[in-house]
Amino acid sequence: MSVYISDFGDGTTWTVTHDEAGHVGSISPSTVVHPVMPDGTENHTILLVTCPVCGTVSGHPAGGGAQPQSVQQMFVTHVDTNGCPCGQVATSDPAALGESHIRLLVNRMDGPGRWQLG
Amino acid sequence: MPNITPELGLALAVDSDDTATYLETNLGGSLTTVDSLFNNTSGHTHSGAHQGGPITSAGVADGSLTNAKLGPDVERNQLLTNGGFEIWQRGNGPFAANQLTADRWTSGMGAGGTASISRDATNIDTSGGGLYAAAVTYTHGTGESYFYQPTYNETPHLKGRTISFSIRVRTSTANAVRPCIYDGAFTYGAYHSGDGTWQTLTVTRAVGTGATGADVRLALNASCTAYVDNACLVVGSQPANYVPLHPADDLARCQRYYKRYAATSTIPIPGGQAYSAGGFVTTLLMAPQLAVVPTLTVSAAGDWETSAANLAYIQCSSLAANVLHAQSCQLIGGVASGLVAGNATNLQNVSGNSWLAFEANP
Repeated sequence: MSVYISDFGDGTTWTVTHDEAGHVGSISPSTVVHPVMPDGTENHTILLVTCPVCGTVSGHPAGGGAQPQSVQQMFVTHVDTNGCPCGQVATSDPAALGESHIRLLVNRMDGPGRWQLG
Repeated sequence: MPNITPELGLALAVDSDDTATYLETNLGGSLTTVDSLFNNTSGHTHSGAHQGGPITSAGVADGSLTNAKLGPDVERNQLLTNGGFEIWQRGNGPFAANQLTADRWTSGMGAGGTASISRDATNIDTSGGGLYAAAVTYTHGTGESYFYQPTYNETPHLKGRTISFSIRVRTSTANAVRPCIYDGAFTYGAYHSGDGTWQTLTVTRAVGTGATGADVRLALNASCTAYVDNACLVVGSQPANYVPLHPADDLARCQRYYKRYAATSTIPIPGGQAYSAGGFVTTLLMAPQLAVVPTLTVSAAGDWETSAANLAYIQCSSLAANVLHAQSCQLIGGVASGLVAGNATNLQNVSGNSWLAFEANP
């Protein structure tokens, strides 16, 4: 019952499902962002997804929260495109580095058994 | 007690609770007989307090009664969450396939299968009490589908143990619904006969020592409508009937995975602090702790408002999680202006449309 990415498509447009309200819509991946802390830094352990229909916002933790497989994939895809605000991963880095970084976040957050991507 | 019948070889005992001399015996079936004698001669009814079922051998030695000897009405430790299908925090449905429905119950479809699942207050298992059951309307495709509780990742303690699952089901379709346990391999119980009555379906499996955990499921193999109620998972080779938890315990188990703030009246969320004229943070504590770090979903920012120094409320322009933990979380919000950095502020809902929910699915 969250707002989550149900289809990553070709990467230029993502399909969002807000299953509680029955809303489905398309968004640009660039609208999925990390929350900004009061000091202006971004929290790299959370991504915010907004329902394009009603404005409901889900804050997903890297571990996956309500939708572990979809959320972990979202973090991996996001870091591959944007790098990580913590500075450990740049946009120019190979995809494997980004995935390793996200897996580390998942392990730290929920334990090593939580990783659901292959 | 007068008129002891020595030919039965009964031993004499003193019953302190009713100050009567009373008999107890090791002879098969004689406890019942003796209680009857006592009742007849004394006019005092023990109401079966000293009666058991027939004991056909010399008394039961301490510590010798095994799980295998227990009947289904002997309460044992329930390992499921919301086994009675009483708690539906996500609403009454109908829920489509692959969605969480009643708390901790979901479905998974085989190829081509579809399902609609709703809370049902009419077709309940009256033998088990409670207010609600789950109504599962299933259309079969080509593969087996399931209505189940996803306990697999939270049951490593079941490795190497024999477990038993029971669930009450009513359907008018034969060979459509049967229980199963999945621990990497499936073990099935018998199908519901399809006679339109409530039946207790059971299955027992010795969970493999190499398994990660174990799920309990209802396997769906033909199009049907099935009413589902009162499920129980226990350790041991004998299934146990569902026994309700205290409502507080029932809800607390559910809130380990999902917790929702929603009301038609005001929901005050105190303890916030403004950090600028347009920004504030507020913290929510989790009780009980969630199973994993949760997703926090908040209805549209305009559904919320936060207090200024004079306790006038200012509508939010943004509101979302910025820190998430299994024990607590922080929300960060924005307003156009009117806050004072360092001041306290209280978040509250604007209307009954406002809600926020934590969801942690291990």
